[in-house]
Amino acid sequence: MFITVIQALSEGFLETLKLFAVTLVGALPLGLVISFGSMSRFTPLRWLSRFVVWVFRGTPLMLQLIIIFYVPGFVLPQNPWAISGGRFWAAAVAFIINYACYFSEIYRGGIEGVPKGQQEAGQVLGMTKSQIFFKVTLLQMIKRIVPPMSNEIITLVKDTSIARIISLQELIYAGYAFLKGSHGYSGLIWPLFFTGVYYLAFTGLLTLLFARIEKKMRYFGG
Amino acid sequence: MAVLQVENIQKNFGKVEVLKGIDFAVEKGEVLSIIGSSGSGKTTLLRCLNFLETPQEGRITVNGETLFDAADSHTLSDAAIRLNRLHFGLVFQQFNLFPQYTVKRNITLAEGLLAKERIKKEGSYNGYTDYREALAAIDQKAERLLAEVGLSDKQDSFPCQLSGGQQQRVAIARALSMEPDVLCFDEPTSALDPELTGEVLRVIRELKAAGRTMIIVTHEIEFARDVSDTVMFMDGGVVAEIGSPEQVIGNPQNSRTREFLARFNER
Amino acid sequence: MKKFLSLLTAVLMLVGCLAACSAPGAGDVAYVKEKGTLVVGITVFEPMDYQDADGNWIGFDAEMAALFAEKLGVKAEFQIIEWDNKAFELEGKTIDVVWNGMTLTDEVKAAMACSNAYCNNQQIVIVKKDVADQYKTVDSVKGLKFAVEAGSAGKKQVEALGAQFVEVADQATALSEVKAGTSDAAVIDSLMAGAMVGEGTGYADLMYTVGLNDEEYGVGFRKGSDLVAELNKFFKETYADGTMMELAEKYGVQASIIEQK
Repeated sequence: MFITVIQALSEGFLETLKLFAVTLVGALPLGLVISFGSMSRFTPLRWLSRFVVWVFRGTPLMLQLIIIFYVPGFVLPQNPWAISGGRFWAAAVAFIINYACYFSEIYRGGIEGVPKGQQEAGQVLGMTKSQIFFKVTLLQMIKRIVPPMSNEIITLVKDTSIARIISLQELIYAGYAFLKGSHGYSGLIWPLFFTGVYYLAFTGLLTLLFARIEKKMRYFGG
Repeated sequence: MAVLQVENIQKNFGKVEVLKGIDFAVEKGEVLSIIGSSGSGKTTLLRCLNFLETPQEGRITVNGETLFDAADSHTLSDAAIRLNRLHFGLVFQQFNLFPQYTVKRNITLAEGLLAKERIKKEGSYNGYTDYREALAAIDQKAERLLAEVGLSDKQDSFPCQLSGGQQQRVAIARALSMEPDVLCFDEPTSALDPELTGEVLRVIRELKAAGRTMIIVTHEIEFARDVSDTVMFMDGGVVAEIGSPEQVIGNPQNSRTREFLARFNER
Repeated sequence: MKKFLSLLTAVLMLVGCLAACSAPGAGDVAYVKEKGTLVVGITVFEPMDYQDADGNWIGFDAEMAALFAEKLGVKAEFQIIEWDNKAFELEGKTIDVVWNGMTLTDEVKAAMACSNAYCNNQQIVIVKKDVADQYKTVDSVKGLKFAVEAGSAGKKQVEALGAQFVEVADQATALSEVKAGTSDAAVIDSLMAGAMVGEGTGYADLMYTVGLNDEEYGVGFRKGSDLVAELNKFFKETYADGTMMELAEKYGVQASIIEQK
């Protein structure tokens, strides 16, 4: 029984990991784009970016999942998500946009938090804008955003379970399945509790990783 | 001929006129101190010289070459502004060292990038066609500059490991690395504890002895009297009084200058 | 802000209209045949839809659905859904049919196009075995704290009873509430109780006591779907040739099957 449960939970965990990884890969760069948008001097773009951020931070992720997954089917003759793996990709799209909005605000804080004098010091030394961004600002910004980012990323690990609402069969789902009847067992409660071990192990690993990154950048103040 | 000729610089931020037409000239090897109360426009003037601000009116000429003329300033490309900046160095009140780099890298970073770019585009930099050789020369120069400001032993330290005075001396070395025609200081000792100002002022004195052309915005009146060839008192965006230290500080003619100096002497 | 509010209202109205005005089921037979799959929305529900040890979907409903799909010339795909979202899943075209021992309540009939009833069911009260003797009548259970599946027929019965209750995600969770002692009793389908509660099941310490009402199961499609007629025809044929009863006996629900005329 234990082996069966572990196998089933691991399958669910794989789905959780997949959603986590795809969300990061999509949201980290998209967040940067949105943060540049929300700092843009071009007013309509700035307003649009801030509007998008407001909408996606201002509504529950669960609602976003439901809308993104179901509404296309209300409007179109065929739901584009009604393909194999469609639930996963619908969840991924919702998570990427939602997390990109949170990340964009962290990036914005990080970029705006680097003192203006740093940029000016680069300017008076005759450095170009891109040299200043990559050689001066970037690393200082990264140092600033690592703590809030690690917070957000650890939250993401746990938020993946929200994808259950559109029946994505992730880790919590796999745990619940043994309550309802799965792999020939029903009424088992402990597999659900046991999913906590997976989450703890993974977030523990991430915590160590972020602590290492923070330590690596501790050598410089500012 | 004057190294620097500044004519009719006017700058306003929105409706606030900060500079209302500034004229002065600096000879080679001359040290000009600018004094005046906060808000008199001293810092803005320095920032205009370093192209961190764009004046609405006026002209800036260095060694006979007009770097900036408000009449056709819109033609200035980013690249041209970059080149113009290299005629000036600026030492900030808050040092603004790059915290993630060692002291030496702070000094070599900008020139290293410039060398790389020039070698790629034009084939050579300062006679070097090989980037590594150019970099070695830049490294040597940084070491020499660090020796000049008395920090040879700190070249591998990070800025956060240095005292304020040491950081400002690194900042001076960094400003010198691009070999500016005119080195500008924006209140270089204002952010320092009183016991640390001495080491920075000493370095500036040594630079004067070595014949550097400098413009120093400062609140250190005694230092200004001591180190300057010319003292300029700014008030409300205009040059209220300019002349030798003995004249401007020792025997001010303008009533505003006298008020300002009297307030200083009370302290 | 005002502009924004009117924009928001317009968008909400548009979405609402699209959801309400469309009658997407009309060409369902052709639609399903064209894509070659019949996506069957289920929860895990013994003995109707559940997985064997190898992960295959079995159960009375699952096997019937597979046969129906076969008759249409398409493949049956089973998709686990949140029971609360079943109407969404249909209208959003992420599933084609809800075939999961679904009680034909007024809400269900309003939200989807339903087949003829094919199975009788009862909502029954489940309590812990050691206290079961005290709760043999409907009156005796009124004071209990219930756990019921959100949006289920059982919930309606508890509401009618006037008892205290908490809504949980599904019937299995309702059972685990009782097992864990966080609720006194659960109300679930008698067909499910037969398979999941009592000796030799995961809930051996729980027991069925009293029935609350009688009801019927049906299969749900998108509103206006032409699959309803196909399925009713299919029910008639399989009842007539004995296939339906054969499967019912396999899963122990033969006593509940309704004659298909």
